[in-house]
Amino acid sequence: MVEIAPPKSLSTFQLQLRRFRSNRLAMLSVAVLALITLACFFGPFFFPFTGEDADFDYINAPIDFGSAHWFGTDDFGRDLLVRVLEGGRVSLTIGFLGAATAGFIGVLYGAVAGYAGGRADRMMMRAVEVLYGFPYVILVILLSLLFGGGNVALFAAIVFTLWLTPAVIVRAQAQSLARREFVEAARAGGMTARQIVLEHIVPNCISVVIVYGSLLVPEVILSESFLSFLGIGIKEPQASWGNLIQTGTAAMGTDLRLLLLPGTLLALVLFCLNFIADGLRDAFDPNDR
Amino acid sequence: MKRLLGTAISGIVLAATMTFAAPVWADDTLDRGIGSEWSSLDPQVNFDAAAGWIQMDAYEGLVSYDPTGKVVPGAAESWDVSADGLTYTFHLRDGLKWSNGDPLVAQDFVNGVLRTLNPDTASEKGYYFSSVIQVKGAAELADGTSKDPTTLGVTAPDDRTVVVQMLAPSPNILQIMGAFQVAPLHSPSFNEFGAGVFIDPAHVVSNGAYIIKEVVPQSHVLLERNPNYWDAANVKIPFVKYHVTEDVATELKRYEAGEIDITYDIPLNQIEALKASNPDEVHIAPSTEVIYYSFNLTHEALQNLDLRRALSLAIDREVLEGKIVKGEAIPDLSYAGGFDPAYHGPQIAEASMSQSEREALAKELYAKAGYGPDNPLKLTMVSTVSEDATRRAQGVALMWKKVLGVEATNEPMERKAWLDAFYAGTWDVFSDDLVGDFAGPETFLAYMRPSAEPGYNWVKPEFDAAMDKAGAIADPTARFAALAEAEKILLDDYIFAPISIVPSRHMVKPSVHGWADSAAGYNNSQWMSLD
Repeated sequence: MVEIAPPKSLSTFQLQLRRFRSNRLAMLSVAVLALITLACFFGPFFFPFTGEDADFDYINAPIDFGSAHWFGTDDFGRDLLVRVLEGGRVSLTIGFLGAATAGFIGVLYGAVAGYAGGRADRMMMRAVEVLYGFPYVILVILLSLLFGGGNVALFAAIVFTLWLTPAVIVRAQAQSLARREFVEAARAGGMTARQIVLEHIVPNCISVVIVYGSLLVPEVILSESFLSFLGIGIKEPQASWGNLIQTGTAAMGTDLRLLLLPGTLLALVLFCLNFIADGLRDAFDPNDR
Repeated sequence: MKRLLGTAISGIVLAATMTFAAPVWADDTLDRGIGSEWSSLDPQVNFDAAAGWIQMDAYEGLVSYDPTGKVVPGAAESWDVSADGLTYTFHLRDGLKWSNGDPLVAQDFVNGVLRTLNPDTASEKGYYFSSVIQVKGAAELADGTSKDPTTLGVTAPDDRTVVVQMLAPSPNILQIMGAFQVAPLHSPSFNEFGAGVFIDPAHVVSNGAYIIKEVVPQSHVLLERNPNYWDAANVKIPFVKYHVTEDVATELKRYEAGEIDITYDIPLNQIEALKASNPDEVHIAPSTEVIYYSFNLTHEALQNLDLRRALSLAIDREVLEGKIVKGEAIPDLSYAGGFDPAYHGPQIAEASMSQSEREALAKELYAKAGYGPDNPLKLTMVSTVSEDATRRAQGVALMWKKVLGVEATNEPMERKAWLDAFYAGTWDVFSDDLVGDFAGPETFLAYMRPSAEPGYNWVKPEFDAAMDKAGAIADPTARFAALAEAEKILLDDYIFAPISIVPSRHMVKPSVHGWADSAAGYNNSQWMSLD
């Protein structure tokens, strides 16, 4: 007797994952992003000083790998590398947390609207359109007045403006799902509307959400940097890539180093995230199978 | 209200079409940078030095100042002093006119002073007359105990004579008889349009070498030569445009592009390069601006003298100004000294110590006040958005963190918001600066008098008494000695940390003639000419 092993069957998700893994650029991006993230979160612990400790004997020290300050110091004698890493911590945290929160709100809102349909759907979507109409920067300024400035206001402002698009996307998906047979069956089987939304609609939207979410992260990082650049985001002495780049542009003519280090890292992270998003889209796109 | 809005809008539209329609005549317009937007163009209210330049061009006081800061006759052609030094009599020129042709009379100057002192005007400048020089009746009018204008010691016995009677002799009186302090008031236009008239080019009436032609918020103020000015024949430049130049780096680019002839400031990190490339255009000279960090005495923690002293001592002023701000400011451990060489004022008590000794003492005092690593002091600071102010504030915050472990955050604000914030008291430490009205100690010390209500909530009758004592002395040497005693009382209370004396920094195009550097900083456009 020869035992014939049944061919291993792969789930859709496993297939998608395999397709993603074969995308070299995306995998490289994942590696680079992971490296940068690790460096930002754990790197500063290897230095005897923090980014808010000034060393007044070494103000504007140049790049010198032999000294304590590898990439030199800024105008106040603070270590540039540590500041950039700490800034990355803030930017990445806000980026991922912001995207997750905005995605979470958007998915739930969209799924409910799409499943409910009819009048409730129309009302909910009109509300989204009204919110779309608010000028972004003015909204941020108002919110930072409301929350008294600082990280919370910035986070709230970013989430407040960015949950709208995922809501619209998921709502369209949910609308078509709501008419499918398995949802009919679930309803006939006695599932409540709440159960159907959470157990059928939301899981079936996930692949769209993952693709969009991976595009959302760089968007959030960019808005954080943009707002900090304008001076309404993260405030000195706390560092973020946005305000580091702003300081760097002021000294662009005399000391390019201050701009290059945070600028390069920000660009690298944005590239990586976009390549990963591309890879995910290719892997999850049903038309490509 | 509606009508007002209507005129405001049509004004803006008119201004916009004018700027598009009229080509810029580069050669007959002097373009000057002014930094942040003017906080007020009301001559009796404006307390802002940069907006004061516009005021000095548009109005003329009893006397005027040449570019080197010397007192020259203004609206008054001459003046007499009484033997006891208490009464000054100014004789106005014959045939003086307002810009609309109305005759300018002595009473207009009296009305200007009365309006400044009137509590309803809410002007900061009343202290010139009640405190810097003690004009008879000024204090009562300022605090509202008297409403009778005839009690004021500034009178106009006839149309061409202004008499100023003081309670105590003041050698400095001529230094505050310029347009910034005693601009005359054109009553007909003011009575008709109210305080809004001063920013309304259609109705504003002035008496200086220039008249206000156009006011565009966040952009510029355009001045045009006043044909009715008594010396109009000697005013060489037909137009002067004061540009809002909030960002110094942008201002320098505009200067290099030829859009601006005289800058408000120079970007700090470019000073060295500019000095090397255009040495004749860089003008850096000591000014009468002193920088000090005021502590909010209404906050319980900062009522502790030891803590305030610790904060003051923890600042390494040499490093701060020399290595961080790099704006060529002169580190300073006194408040009113350093302007008049004849004045030998005190410094803070620890001036003779080295910085490391000061820091050790600061740590001791900080711990004594009950703070430490587990219980750090948290402070909010307020500074203006200008580059040197934010850098200085950040530098001070980092020094406090390094030496004491204080957690201080700085909030940069536009100049107008910064001034408002001062009076609102929403800060622990205020990045303060005061531009003296003349290069002498008295202008600074008089401002600090609790009776002048400078907003520091500092109650110190001893200081007032010492100032009164000094004010009664006519002999300059003895007067300075008495003022030094008063300053000692002020410095010993550490209600602020003195930081530095700021220089004025300007780029001046070679085509501009008649510019001079002086501590007083008067460079009225009427003295200048363009190639």
